[in-house]
Amino acid sequence: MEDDTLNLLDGESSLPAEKRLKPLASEESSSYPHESKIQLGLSLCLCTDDVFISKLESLSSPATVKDCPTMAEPSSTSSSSSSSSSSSSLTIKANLFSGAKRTADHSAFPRQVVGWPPVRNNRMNNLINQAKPAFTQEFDSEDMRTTNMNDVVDASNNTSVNPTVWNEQSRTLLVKVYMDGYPIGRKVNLNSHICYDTLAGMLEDMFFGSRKSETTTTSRLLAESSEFVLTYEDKDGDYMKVGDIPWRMFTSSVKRLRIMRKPVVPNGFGEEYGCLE
Amino acid sequence: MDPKRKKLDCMKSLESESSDSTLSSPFPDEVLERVLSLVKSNKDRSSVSLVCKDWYNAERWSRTHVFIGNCYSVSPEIVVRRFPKIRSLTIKGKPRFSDFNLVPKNWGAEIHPWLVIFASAYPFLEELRLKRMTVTDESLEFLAMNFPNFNSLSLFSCDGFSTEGLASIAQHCKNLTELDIQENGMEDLKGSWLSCFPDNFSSLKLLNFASLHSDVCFSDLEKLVGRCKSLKVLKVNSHVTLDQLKRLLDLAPQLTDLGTGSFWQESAIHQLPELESTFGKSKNLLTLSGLWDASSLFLKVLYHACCNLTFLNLSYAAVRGVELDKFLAHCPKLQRLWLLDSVGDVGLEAVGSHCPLLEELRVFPTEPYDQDFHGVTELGFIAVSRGCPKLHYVLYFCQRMTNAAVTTIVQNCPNFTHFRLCIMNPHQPDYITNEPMDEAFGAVVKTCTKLQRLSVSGLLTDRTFEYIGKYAKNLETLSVAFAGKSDWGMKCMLSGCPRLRKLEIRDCPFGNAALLSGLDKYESMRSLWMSACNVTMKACKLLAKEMPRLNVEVMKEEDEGDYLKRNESDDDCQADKVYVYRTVAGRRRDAPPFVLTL
Repeated sequence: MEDDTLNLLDGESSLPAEKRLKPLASEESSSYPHESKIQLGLSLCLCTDDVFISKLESLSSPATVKDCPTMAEPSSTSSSSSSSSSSSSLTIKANLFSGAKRTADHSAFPRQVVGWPPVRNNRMNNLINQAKPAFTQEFDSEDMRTTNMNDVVDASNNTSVNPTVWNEQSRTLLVKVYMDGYPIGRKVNLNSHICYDTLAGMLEDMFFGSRKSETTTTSRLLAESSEFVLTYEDKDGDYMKVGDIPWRMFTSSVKRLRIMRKPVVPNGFGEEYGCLE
Repeated sequence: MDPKRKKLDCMKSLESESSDSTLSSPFPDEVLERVLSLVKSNKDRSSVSLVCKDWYNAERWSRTHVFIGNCYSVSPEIVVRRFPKIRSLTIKGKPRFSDFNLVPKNWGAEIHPWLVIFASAYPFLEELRLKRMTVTDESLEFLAMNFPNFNSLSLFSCDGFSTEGLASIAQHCKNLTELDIQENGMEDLKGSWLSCFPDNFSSLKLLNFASLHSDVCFSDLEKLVGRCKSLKVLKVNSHVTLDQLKRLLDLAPQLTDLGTGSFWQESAIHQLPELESTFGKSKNLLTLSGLWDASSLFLKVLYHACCNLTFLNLSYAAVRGVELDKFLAHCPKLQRLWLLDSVGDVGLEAVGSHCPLLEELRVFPTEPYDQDFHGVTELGFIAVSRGCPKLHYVLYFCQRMTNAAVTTIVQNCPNFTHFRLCIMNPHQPDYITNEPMDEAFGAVVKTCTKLQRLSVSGLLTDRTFEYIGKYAKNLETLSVAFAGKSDWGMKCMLSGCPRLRKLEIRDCPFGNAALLSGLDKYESMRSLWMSACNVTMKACKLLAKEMPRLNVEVMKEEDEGDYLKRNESDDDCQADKVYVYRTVAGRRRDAPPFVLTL
């Protein structure tokens, strides 16, 4: 009987089969056929995204929840098979950051099932629209002078011809932000900022706790004296320090942000070695 | 309400006194009907109809509204025969899990056969509220053409129609006061449906097209809003820009419920003061929604419009905690709040500190599939529970939770009526102790005696269901997914929970014995849904045989109708999706091939 089920489902290449979770707690032998295809409940983005689906399928069966000592390091369950429970969160995150660039801007949930989590389609579609990497012809009044004239013409043409498309594409540019040693990742909308200072200010609020007083001093993140350095992953996959290039260029090439802890150099280092000689 | 109750009580006692005599009622029917027409609650009306035959008749002649929770539990003929004077109907169709793509397309729940019967029985029909029904453009046109008094249409989570159908409604319903189109699986053909309202049409009080994807002709919308002076509720879709919205608001300062369009417009950055002043005039606002892509820059313009706000829906704007904090400082009267988890725990702390009157909170996920992205955690939930003692409705999506946190939360807010917690990773235990989340839900059912609706998640053993069965005396709706250990879990639910009406289960290790343990219970419930469990045809057939007043439907995917037919006699065949519901209409006549009613 089970074979029949599998034959029927495998033969239907146009119909992705439901991928079901084997309940961990159940002792009974599961009679669920292990379909190889994954049906993603979203009709919009994921089913047509070949890169994304192949990434999903290439993931080995994930470590079970029981293997994980705490859920504070969720990356150990969702990252690819190469991750071992390394004590350094840096290594795990490096695994996530490096590797194939994904066209869909979220890491794969290896155990995606139909209709879970229970979020209505309307809402799902809205989220997908928000997460799409927007083309960054976003500019503001202050940058107008430095803008390439062609860009201005293009943008205004777009506005008159198809204002809704322009709106949709440039209204949000969400990128992920991670901080070393902090397992919780966040997302920021770069299009709601016009310069590095406001971005850094917001990141500080997010990761160092909100500071009630409005501060006008240079943010801690950008300061040389800070123990952290704000970096970003660019189009080529390299990590660069934030702040070196004009804002518009930055927003058009940034893929992800990372707040790195600066490596600590002990003060007496040189002297120790000096003594040994 | 109380004076009516007294009347009914006294009539009841009179009734029992005269029960020996041949007089059936001391009051003429007309008086009885008149009195009963004041009884609005459906539950009360049901009770009234059970008193005696005269009261049953008086009730049925005086009833103007019918609520049908499951369209297949009754047939339109039966409804029409019993209630001759209906002017308003609410009908619900598909099982709730159809919202999450678990019910195959073309399952049924078509409104058309109902409309055909209503056209002759209720020509004066005024209002139709449909949820999870299949509504075609043909049906909408039929509705528009055959009911001259029709004035109020609400479609929530329906499918099968397009903007063409809406055009028929706009064009032909001369007395339309409400058009409420929410979250439907409809086809957006970019028509000019809104432009089909006649030039002299001005009766609209409610217009909601927030979930439509295509744009409407703005100048026609502007003219419509301009001439509908009674318009109180206006919810536009995201194609309406900020400056367009401003023009609409200038025309309609009397609005009480506003759904904005896109709340980000690069060119409107220069118009902030004007926007602020326009919004400042809308002091009557009670509800605010839409707000797509709102950023702190534009949220500021709303500050002075929120002094009387009771419902704020920010669930389409990825707002940060700090921004939310500033915003909520201007919303002291908030009772209902919908958010995205982008606000983080910081945002929820702000909720706890600014919203003492809060009764309902819903926190939706920004990244449902990304385990690395933690929007909100148990800490945010605790913060809200501390600051909002009136909280009784919560829907909370999160990546991690602990038993201790939930216990604290319900101690702070013991009045929960709706507790829907979704820990997004299935089978996830308490992330600190690594234990199952049994004690969390145990605390919920033990502490919250008024609990009517519960959705459970996380790693759960049968213990959870023991607690639920034992303590959840008022529970009516229960949703279970990826939980339980054995049949015992489901048996506990079915043998306890005296008020259970809707039970929906997916991906749980409950089998035939579990299904059959509820044999005596299902007739007192509206429905049971079980999918991806361990049920086979054998149990389904037995259930159908023993309980003829239940419809036991076994479903496969849409193109698997043949498979179902071939294996109908195979008792050991897996019943992937089972839908059991009580009915007085017998098995349905419109079942597609992939649905087998046993």
